[in-house]
Amino acid sequence: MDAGNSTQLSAELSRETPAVDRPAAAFALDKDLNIRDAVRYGNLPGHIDLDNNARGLRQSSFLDRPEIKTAVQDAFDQRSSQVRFSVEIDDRRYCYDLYCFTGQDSDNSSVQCFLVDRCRDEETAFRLQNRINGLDIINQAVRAFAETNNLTEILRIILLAVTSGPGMGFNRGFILLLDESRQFLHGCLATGPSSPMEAGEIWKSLSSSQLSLADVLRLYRTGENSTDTYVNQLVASLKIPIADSSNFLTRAFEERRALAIGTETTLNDEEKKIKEKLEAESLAVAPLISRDNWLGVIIADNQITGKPISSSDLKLLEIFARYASDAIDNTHLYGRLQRKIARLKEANDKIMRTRENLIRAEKWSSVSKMALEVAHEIRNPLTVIGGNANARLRKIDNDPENQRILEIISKQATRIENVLNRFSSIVSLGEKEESNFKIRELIDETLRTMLSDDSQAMPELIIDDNIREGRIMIDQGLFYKAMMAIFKESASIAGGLSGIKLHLKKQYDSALILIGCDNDSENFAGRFFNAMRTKQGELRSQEITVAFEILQHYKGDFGIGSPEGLKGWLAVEFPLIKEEV
Amino acid sequence: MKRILIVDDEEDIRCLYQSELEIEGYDAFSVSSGNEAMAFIDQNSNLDLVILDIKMNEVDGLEVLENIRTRTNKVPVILNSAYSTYKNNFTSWLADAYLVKSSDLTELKDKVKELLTT
Repeated sequence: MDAGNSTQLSAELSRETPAVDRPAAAFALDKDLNIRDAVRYGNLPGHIDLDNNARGLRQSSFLDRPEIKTAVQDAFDQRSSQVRFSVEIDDRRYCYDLYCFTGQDSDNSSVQCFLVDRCRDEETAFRLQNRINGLDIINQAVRAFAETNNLTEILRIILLAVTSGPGMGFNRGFILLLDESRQFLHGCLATGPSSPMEAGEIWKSLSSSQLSLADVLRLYRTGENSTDTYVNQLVASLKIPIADSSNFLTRAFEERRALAIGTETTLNDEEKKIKEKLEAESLAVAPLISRDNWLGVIIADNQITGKPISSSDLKLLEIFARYASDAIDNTHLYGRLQRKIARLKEANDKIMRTRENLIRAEKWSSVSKMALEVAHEIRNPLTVIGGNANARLRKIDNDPENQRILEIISKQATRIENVLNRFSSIVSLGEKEESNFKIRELIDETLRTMLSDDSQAMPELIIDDNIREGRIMIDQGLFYKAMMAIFKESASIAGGLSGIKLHLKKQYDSALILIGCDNDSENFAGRFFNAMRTKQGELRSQEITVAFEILQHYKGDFGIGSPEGLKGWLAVEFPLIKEEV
Repeated sequence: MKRILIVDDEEDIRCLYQSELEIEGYDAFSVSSGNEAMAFIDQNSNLDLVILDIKMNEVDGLEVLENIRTRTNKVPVILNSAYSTYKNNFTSWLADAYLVKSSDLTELKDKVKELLTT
């Protein structure tokens, strides 16, 4: 191809430009692969050796490649061809497309070739692939985050994603979190080898297993840190105050971005100290921020390999840290939610218990009231009927018929009285469900049942150590019935339930519930007894009376008794179940 | 003759007790309420014994009992109630006896006799 041809070719190529990629060079090739009429249109990076004079072109190594030879041969065989090849120099890859067309020579002695620089395409593809890899890392990690609410596991996933080969590939990773007081950054967890030798062993083992990131996260997120003891010791030594502090950790938070920290001399003493503690030359710091709250930082470095931290590494770490922050924040939210659920469950259980207790106590109350009223209403007329029958019986003689009738009346009256006597004790009514209970728990339940809401203060209750496990055998409902009546009366003296003071102690084989109050404590029992008096038309003391009956039924007692050094308190006694030897 | 006051809001009970106690040789009186009882006691300082019902309208038996005890400990008082449960009531301990009403008055008569002879 002469200069005119070259110019023409150039013109053709220029016309082709909109439709095809602009070639970096054009040349002709003979059957011996000698370059002729070469025209260079741009740079030929990657040591592609072409010049217009075609000298030394034969040495261009790319022409020796079999795929090139095949493509050229195709062109000689009247078939246009295209082949992509790359040249790698100094870890850099240079990529070209070679287009071969049948030559215009009549003797078919050469073919025309165009060399198109694909280096930029390749770089773009490389960057794209990097981004895809980065997104995949984030995707895998986010999926793993979604599978747990355990903070330690989340931290481990973060570190695995940062340090594993199929992940971001940093040598070491450290996580520092803000403590509850939000005053300090605490070193929490780290992963990475302690030395190049250890790194070699670990990485060799990992590379032979060919694990994907998903595999790594699944296999190692619940594992122990036994192999990473050293880095965990390093991170555990970090407790960095954040108030009035100026270092690359606080700066990363303030600037809301990841920072690369190298060996620059501008680092202050505090920053140098942090680096020293982590034994790091250069490192990347990404802030963990969720909903504008600073949670902590991820620190990563390549201390073992010394590989520089690229801007794309830093960017990926920064993006990843945002997702990691949400995962950490979610565990906090989940924890708070769990605690709230537990509190609600406890409150619900309490409501249910209170409801049951009240129903049981009310059942006994209703039964006892009814029994007493029935007994009273029947006994009075019965006394009159039977009493008069007996009186008349003594007065009549020689009247066997009336005598017999009066005897029947008297006998039946006595019979009904006997039935009433059986009903006279309310504890004999109803089916009892007796079981052994810790007396302190029964007292606690009774008091809680009596509180109308949680905001009310509980009475002060002192429990001696030797009675903490003390148990009594009783029907729970009857216990509530008895003690609620006594506490209720006590509360009216003490100016409210919270005004009562209680002391549970052991005396011989019994549990003593001592009841008093702060004001006029010495006269508490006296005031209690006075308060029990029957009021007009109302059986005010009935509840207490029933309480006494219940106590007596369970071999308990009621009287005066005080804690040591005090006097005038009320004492309620229940026999304890003897401990089994 | 020993003078006994019967306090009960049931007329038939009052009649029965009065009649039976008179047969036993006592001078028996009866009133139907706590207020009447206290008025009667104020006017009759020579009473020997009081039989007192508990549940009555206005002033009940336990208040009458307390009223009596604030004046004197010398007059024995028998609480006589259809409520057996009051036996356990502290205030009733102020009484000399607590008897549950019964068609068989033997126990009541025995207790009256016992208290009047001691």
